[in-house]
Formats: sequence, structure tokens, C-alpha cells
Amino acid sequence: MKKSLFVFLALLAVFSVGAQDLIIANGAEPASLDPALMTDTTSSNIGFALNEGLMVYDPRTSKGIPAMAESYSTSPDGMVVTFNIRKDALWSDGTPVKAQDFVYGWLRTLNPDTASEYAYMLTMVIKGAAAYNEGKGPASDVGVKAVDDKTLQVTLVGPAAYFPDMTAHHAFEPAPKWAIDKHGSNWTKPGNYVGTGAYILKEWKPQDYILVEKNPKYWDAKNVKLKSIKYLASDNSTTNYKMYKAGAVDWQVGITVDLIDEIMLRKDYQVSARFGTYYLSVNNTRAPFDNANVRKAFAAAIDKKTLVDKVLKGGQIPTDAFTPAMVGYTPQPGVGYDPAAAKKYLAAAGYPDGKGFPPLTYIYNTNEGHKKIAEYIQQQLKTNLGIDITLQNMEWNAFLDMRSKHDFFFARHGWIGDYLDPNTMLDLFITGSGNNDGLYSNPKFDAAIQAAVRSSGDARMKLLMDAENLLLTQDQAFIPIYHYSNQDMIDTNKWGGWYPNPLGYHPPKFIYKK
Amino acid sequence: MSQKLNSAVNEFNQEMKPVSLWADAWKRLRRNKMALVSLWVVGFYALVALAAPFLPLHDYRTQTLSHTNLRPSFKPAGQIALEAVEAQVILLQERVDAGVESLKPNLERTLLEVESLKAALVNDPASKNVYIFGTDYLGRDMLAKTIYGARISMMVGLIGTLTAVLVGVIIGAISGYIGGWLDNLLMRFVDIMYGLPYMLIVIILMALFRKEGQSSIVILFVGIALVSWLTIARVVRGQIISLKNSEFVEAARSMGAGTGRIIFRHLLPNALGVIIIFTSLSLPSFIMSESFLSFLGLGVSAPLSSWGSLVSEGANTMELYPWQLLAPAIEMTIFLFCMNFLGDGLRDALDPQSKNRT
Repeated sequence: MKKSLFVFLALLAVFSVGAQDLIIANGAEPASLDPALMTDTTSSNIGFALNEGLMVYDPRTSKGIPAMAESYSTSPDGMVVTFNIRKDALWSDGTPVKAQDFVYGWLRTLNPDTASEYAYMLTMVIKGAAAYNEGKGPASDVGVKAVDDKTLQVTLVGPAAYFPDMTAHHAFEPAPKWAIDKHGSNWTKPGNYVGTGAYILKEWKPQDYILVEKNPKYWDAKNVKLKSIKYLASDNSTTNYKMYKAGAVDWQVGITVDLIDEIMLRKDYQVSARFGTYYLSVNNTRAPFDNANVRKAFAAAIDKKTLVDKVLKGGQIPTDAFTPAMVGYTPQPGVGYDPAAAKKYLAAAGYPDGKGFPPLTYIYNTNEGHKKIAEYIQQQLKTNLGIDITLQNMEWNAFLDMRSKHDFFFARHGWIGDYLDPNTMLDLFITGSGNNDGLYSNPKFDAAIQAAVRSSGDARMKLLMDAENLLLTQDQAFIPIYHYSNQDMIDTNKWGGWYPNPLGYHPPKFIYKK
Repeated sequence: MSQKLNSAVNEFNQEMKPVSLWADAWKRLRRNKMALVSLWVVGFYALVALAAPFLPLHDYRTQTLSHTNLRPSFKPAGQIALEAVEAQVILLQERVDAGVESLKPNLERTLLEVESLKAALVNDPASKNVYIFGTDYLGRDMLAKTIYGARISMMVGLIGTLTAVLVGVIIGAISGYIGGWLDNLLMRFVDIMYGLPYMLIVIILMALFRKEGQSSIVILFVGIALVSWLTIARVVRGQIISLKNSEFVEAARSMGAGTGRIIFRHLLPNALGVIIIFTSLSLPSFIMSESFLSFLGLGVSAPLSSWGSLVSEGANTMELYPWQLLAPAIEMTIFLFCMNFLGDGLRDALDPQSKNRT
């Protein structure tokens, strides 16, 4: 009897392990699975399994490739884009995907009541979207229209050539009106969730894991190879790495900085440049950071190169700018490391040698890597400016909440581009942007960005460069540290369809076991 | 000899000094070798922790980034760093030769580091530093860090234990001896405090009292003090209840001793064994709960550290840099062991019932 029970349990163990094709150590607990509300990479990694927009990120290049849209056409002046939605596109509950679902989804993102932090992404490009989002215009004036069930027409503010790429982002995903009307904010729970993606939400154990299973109604289901994926929620990267080494995890998102000397020698360590920036957010509306000289003093007091070379060692690029270099766009110089200049800036702000500087706390989300950087910055400020700051780590959701409510002075921040264009970086700092946590506001900067949307080619890039110059060299709205690198642990000899790419997005529909 | 009014007389009619409870206890403690050694060790820890600012240590805050993750050694740091980096060069060279292009920049950077370390051996006085406990991930001296960590941890243990003994014993004794409605009231209050999750109390305190730029360590002490006395109050109450009807209490009461005298002179010395065992056992648990709070970001924050935070940091890099875990862990273990032996010895020494044992 005992023996048969043992055999049964062993079989059960084998099956329950074999049941997930891919196990991902995804970092912290996701903040939200609602496409209109997700802002962090932890949530959006799962979002790529559950939902699909008009386009999907190409796993090699991060550019948009048609997904829910079969094809699209742009009017000769570049102002109107028409998407043709797939005839066979279905929601996970079997309802056909209609153009109206996109109109509903986008208007929902824009609706001021939804309070989507990504609404600005739509308002920057779609005609009438800004007015509706600010409560100054009706929803009917927003330039998105369902011509018929399968044709979506979008009118833009200017000839934004990058617009189709943008629609791969979660903020542009359709939303299931019937499910949201029925369940309210509970619609993202397992059982209630209706999505367009290759996977359906099966199980969600908070602070533990999220399990998704293949969606048989997905239009491209025959090309989806993995039957199920498990996303583990754990922000301890050392534990994640140990699980990875033990074979309990197939893909670790991010690495543990502590063990970089060992990790960099491994064959399955994937490292590549990433289109994003790690920076320190400062609250521009609160003293002492309402003074540009204080911000510049901080920027000049931190030796970023030593940090990257001696502590992080993971392919990051130290920077004084925000937008990484790309074709046609030269990063702006910004304020570089210079302790003598830092002291001068601080003295000009009225705190010679740090005297009289108010007590200050730097907040960051719990993670060994962020902790090291925080301690490094603390010591740099002490040595170069004579300022003592306190460090405080916080749980991911509490941290996001505090930061997005602007209830902080000095906080860790990072930004990964959503599409390959300087706009995805710079739009962050326009007045009223949902991700402008430091409340930077300069009408000249806003005007330059607005003007860039209406122009194109080199003139547009020139406008954007000038805007960044204003943002950094003049105002120093925040303190850039380094450009991210993608660092993942995954054995690409075992897993196919996973490639290093600039945005670091890996839609799971492409991943397969070799 | 006439000036000694209080002197007693023994059975041979010789004058002798009265032996107080404490002198007696001390005599017996001295006979217990383990306890005595532990007392010396704990004393040494306390001395080092108190004198830390005057000891010839490296500053625990100084980050020497060319000396990160150095192994413990009596050799100058510059040499150790050079050895470590040269070993890394060989490993990197192997991987690059095997065709891993992505490591090339790392190799180049590491080669440059070899050069700069060689130059530093001559020019930089910092390369003569000796780190007998090694260094951490930002090139800080582990010896200084563990000593300053000991300060915080011992302070947490001390504050927790002191409040536990002072508040817990008094409340427990009063509640047990007087009984009735007062006992009910006090014990229900203890029940309520028990019911509140400890974490919640600390988090609420943080939310209420925390100021921008202020370290949370004071709030942590208050939080630990608030809940530390609960268990001991109950234990003491139980002891007192079981003793309060015994003959010696009857005798004291019949001779007209007041409540305070009975509690403090007659009952508590008899409960001392339990109190001391409990105290010596709860000290480690205060140190542990502090380390858990630090991990959650509610305890000490950098550049200060405690044994708990040092161990949790060290555990992350256990395979590569074991000394970062071992240095604080061994130091902490020795301290806790000694506290236990000392507690054991004190119990034997102070317990009136063990008087006739040798």
C-alpha cells in the first residue's frame, strides 16, 4: 500500500514538473495584468503571453511585425494609418476580435478615470487623444475609428513613422468590454481573463507564481510550441540563479550582480545592449531638488564609469544622457563626473560643502543589485559633496505606488524603451506624462517634443536632440547613471526563438524547445 | 571589629561577613569554567564594540573599488587584488580563445585593471592596506564592518533584554501576586499585544514616526522593546502564582512584610532561574528578528550594518566569496554560544535551590 502510494506520488511529481514547458524566474510580483495599467517589465513580460496588439515585437529586432493586424497602409501624407484585422482573430473565449474592441481598448487607456500611466503614449501621436485624456474633449473626437468590424483607421497628430511599431505595446491592445463590464477590476483574475494572446491565464498565486496555458483559439495556435509557461515571482536574484543552476528554472530574467565574476564566464549568460536607461529620479517640485544646481551637483558628483567597470561589470554603458545612441540621433553630452564642479554647483545652490543640506532618503526596490548601486551613490555623495543620505528599500508594488504618487524626494528609476525611437525615452518627461514621476515640467521642452511629432526626418531628430539638451544640460531633470544591458540566463542551445534584442522583449509565442 | 554592626557569627562563634545572594552567585559562577570563559568572551566583545571608534581599523564606510571581494589575508591588499584579477584574466582568456566574442571588452578591461593595480602597488598607499577578514562587494573592510555590525546587534539584544526584564518581570510579578481584577486586566492587555502581529506594529510605528532622511533604527528599538516583555511577563506570573502560597511567603507575610518586599526579596529571587534562562534564550531571538526586519528594509540601513544584514548579504555570495558570510556568521555564532553558556552558568549560580550542589 505504502509502495503504491509512493509510486503514485512519484508519478504525480513527474507529471506536475513535466506540465510546464517553460519556467521563468520573472523577478518581482507583477503589479497588474490589465494591459491599460501595466507599466513595469515584470508585468509586461506576462502580458506578452496573454495579449497581442495589432503588432508584435520581432524577437530579433524589436521592431513591430503584424499580429492581430494582417496588414496596414499609411496615407501618402503619413497622417492616417489603416489596419486590416485578421479574419480568423479570436478572443480566448471564442468571440471574434473586432476593430471596435481596439477602439474600446484605446479609449479605455485614454479615459481619465482609468488613470493609465501610459495614456500619454497615445496622446502624443493620436489626434484628439490629448484633449480627451485631459477631460477637455469628447471621446468621439479621438482619431481612432472602426470603419467596419475588421478595419481600424487611426488619424495621427503628425507623420509619425514609428507609429505602427508603437502598436506592439500593451497600451495599444484591445480590451474585452463584455468581460470588464461583467467583472469590473476583477477581470484580470484567472477564469475571468479574456485575452487575444497565445496563452490564457490559468492560475495566479500572488507572491508565488502565474501559470499560463496555450490558447487553442489563438489565430496562430499551430505555430505556438509551448503548452504552458510558469512565471515565478521572486525578487531575490541569488535564489533565482541557484534555481536556474539546479535546473528548476529555464530562463532567469536579469542576473545577480553579486556573482557576475562567475556568471560572465558561463555559456548560457546572454548579454546585449538594451534600449533603456538606469537613472535617479528626483522630485523637481520639492526642495532641495527644485533647484537645478542641486540636481547638477548630484549629477557631477557620481562617478558612473567606476560603478559600471568595478561593480556591475555586466555590459552596461555609463552615461550622462538619457536616449541611447541610434541612427540619426547623437546623445547629448549632459553633466559629466567632476567633483570640483559638483562642489561649485552645490555652493551656488546655497549649501557650500553640503552645510545645511536637508536630510534626504533615497528609496529603491528590494534587490541586491539596486542595493549595491544605492550604497555606492550614498558614499559618492558623502565623499564628493559632504551630504549624508539615508537608504530605504521597499517592496516592488509599494515602491511603484510611492513613486507614481510623487511622494518621494530621491528614488531609483529605470526606463526601457517601448519602441525603437528617441520619442519613447523623451516623451517620459513631458508635463503630465503618467511616468514623469519626478514632475519635471518645462513648456519649452514640451513645445519641442510636440513640434517633433509634426515634423519628420533629420529636422525631427534635431528638434529631439535640442529637447534632450534642454532636459539635461540646462535643467538636469534627473540623474542618468547608465544604459541598461539585457542580462538573462537562458541556454539558447536548448531553447529556440529566443534572441537578444534591443528592447529585451521576448514574446513567448516564438519560443520553442529545440 | 566593633564597627561591623552587621557582621554575623558562625557556628564556632567567629565573626564572618554575611554572604549576599550576589557574592554567593559570583563564587559559584567562578567555579563553572565554561561560564567563566564565556563571560570573558562576552566582555571582550563588549569592550571591542565600545572601543571600536578608537581602534586602528579602516573606516567601515570607505569604498576602495579596486579592492572589491578580496579574500582574507595578512598580505597587502594590492598584491591580493592583483592575484585575483590575474586569475580572472586567465579564465576570461580561456573563454575568449574558445570563441566567446562578448567577453572581449571584459578581458580588455581586466587587462587594464592589472596594469593599474601594478602601478598602484608603487604609488597608492591604499594598496598597503591589510584586510584580515577580507573585503566586501564595494571594497569595504569586513573586519570593521563586522565590529560595527556587532555594535548594532548587541545594542538590539541589550535593549530587548533590558525592557523584557524590567517591564516583563515587574508586570508579571505584580499581576501574579496581587491577582484578581488587576491580573485580569494586565494579562488581557498582554493577550491583545500578542494578538497584534509584531511586523504590523513596527510598520505602523514607521509610518507614524519616520522622518525624511532619518534612519529607522530608533523606531526599530522601540518596536522590539514594545513586544519583548510579553512572554516573560507571563512566565514570571506563572512562577509567582505557584510560589505565592508557599511557607516562606506565609512566614514573611506573618512577620509583617509588605507586598513590595515579598515580591522583590522573596518571590523574585526564587523565580530568577526561569528569568535568566528566558533572557539568555531571548537575546538571540531579538538579534534574529532585527536581521529579519533589516532584510525587509525596516531595520538598519547602509552604511550601518548588523550581524543579520551582513549574514544575509554574505549568503548571496557564499560560493564565490565565502568569507563575506563566514566572518559575521562565526562572530555571531561565538557570541550567541557564549551568551547561552553564560546564561546556563548564571542560572546554576543564582538558583537558590541549587545551593547545596557543587
